[in-house]
Amino acid sequence: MKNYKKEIMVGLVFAIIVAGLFLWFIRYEPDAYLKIGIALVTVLLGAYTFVRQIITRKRDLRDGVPAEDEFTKRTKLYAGNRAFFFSMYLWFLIYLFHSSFTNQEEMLGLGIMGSALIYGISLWYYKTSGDFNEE
Amino acid sequence: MKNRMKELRARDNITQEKLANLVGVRRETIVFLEKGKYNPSLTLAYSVAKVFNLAIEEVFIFDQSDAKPDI
Repeated sequence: MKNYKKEIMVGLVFAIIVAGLFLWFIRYEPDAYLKIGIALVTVLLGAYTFVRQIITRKRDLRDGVPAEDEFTKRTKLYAGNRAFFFSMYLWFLIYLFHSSFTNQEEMLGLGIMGSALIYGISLWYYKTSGDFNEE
Repeated sequence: MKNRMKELRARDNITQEKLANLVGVRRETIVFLEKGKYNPSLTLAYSVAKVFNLAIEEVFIFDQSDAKPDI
């Protein structure tokens, strides 16, 4: 159980987000099929990532591989740094074009989803390239 | 920074996975180290050198061009 602490935490946060999302849709927008569809795809992607993480961790534990080492820690650090930098540009653009949004929820949703997407792309980039510009 | 890890692994017949286990990192870290895309910490460089029974500078070749101009 101790070895899966991170995965359990991620799972709990994920479950709270999913529950919140569905309660919100049921209460405020029961007819918004497109939004519900997007939410479902997001939930499925999240569930897939979570299950994959559990399987990978189980295999790592069996093989005695550490969950994190200095490379993976540096990857997260650089990805977070880069994502924060680009997210600032995204929020600045949202601020510039805030009048073109019909409501605040859409604007905030785009900002939050965009930031998450930027972090995901940054993480993928550093994980696959290992390019920390250290040369 | 260049290194002789791949050559030394072949010499000692050690797989990337085995080396990763011996120094306590993930296999991907060894892959990036061998490609020269990632510079290890001093601790990791020491552990790798110890596996091959060599000094750090015999495994990791520090080129003067790696140094910053103002150092």
